[in-house]
Amino acid sequence: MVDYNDPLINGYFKRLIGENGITLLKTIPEGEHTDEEMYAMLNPIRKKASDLKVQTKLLKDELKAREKKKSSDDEETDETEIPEKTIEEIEEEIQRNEIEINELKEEAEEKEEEIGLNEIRKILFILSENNFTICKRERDTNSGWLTFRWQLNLVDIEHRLEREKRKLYRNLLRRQEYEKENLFYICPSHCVRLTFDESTEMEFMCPLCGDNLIYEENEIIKELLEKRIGEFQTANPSMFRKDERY
Amino acid sequence: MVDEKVVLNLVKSTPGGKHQNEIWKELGIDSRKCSRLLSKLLEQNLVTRESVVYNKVRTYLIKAVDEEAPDTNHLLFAGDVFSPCTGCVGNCVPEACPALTIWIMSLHDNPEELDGCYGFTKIPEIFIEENYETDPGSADYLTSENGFEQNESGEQDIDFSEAI
Repeated sequence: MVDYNDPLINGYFKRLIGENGITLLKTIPEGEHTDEEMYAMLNPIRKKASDLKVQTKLLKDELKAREKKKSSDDEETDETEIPEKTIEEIEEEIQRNEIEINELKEEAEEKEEEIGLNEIRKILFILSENNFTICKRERDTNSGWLTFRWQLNLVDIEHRLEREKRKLYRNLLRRQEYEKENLFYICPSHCVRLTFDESTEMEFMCPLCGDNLIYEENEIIKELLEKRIGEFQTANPSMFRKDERY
Repeated sequence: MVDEKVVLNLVKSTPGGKHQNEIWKELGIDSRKCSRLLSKLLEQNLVTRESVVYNKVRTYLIKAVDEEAPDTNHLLFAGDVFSPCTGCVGNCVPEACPALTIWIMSLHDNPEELDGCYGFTKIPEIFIEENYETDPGSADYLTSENGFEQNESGEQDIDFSEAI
């Protein structure tokens, strides 16, 4: 079981799928779920409101159908079949439902921060790219409609973290080389940071604001990079090699 | 006489494991004997081996089993900031990546003291004369050159034509 409150896990998923993604991971119980089920779990009040809306729409359709029937064959009615609800009852129910929907919407806005269906799908696809989900696809034989059922599978997280470390380490090495090899000139108002060659081309003038460029001392950045790279290398010399190719 | 114990001690004494081609050279034995000793150790589950390329030669990295992998997870953090490379979908240009610059600056005890301009290390294409003449509307250098989509204020397209 993964502890989402662990700063490492939390930080990783926050970068990967954001705050909403973490809420999703925390809320979804184990097992297979469709994206719509996840939406219902994350936004119970909104889900209730939307169900009620569908119900109201059905009632309205029924009302229309009845009125149409009544006007077309009002003389031929046998009155043999007794309707379950009278027209007045349906109208009343529609009104009640509409009031309730408005109340639910207000409640949802106060209590819930909506995580939309599209966002949930986006999160699921990112998780799937990183092998954190098992996805099953089912096709409805009648309609041809595809249903995706998702199951969370976070056993691979240690391996993913190792990959992230290697990626960061390689990028730090590249950055270190760049910082070592170049001299930098920056705009006093922080518009651009250019290398010596680029600055010469621009005649030591900022291309954005026209101010004179000044020399930037990048010793601190170099020191910071060297320190962290050294920490990587001493912690695990076989994994973080000095001669790592990038 | 070199036996399994000597090999095991040598492997244990080297943090991070030792390459097989180094072991037999160091112990002054031939590679055949070394591989036979190691296969005995492998049978007893005292060492693990993984295939690696070392100095352009394919060999095995031998690690002692009881040697626990050191915890390097904290190295992903700079202060409270997690590695910016995680989940990044931009073109990877670490030399000019603003997110990486901010992360590196967060390694400092007082990041506020540091002066930097967040990795705008490239001249925007629009300022190169040829591009400006042919396509004055191409101000989307942020996405193409620097590998990130939005600037700090959250604006995606900046109209640099006014600055000129």
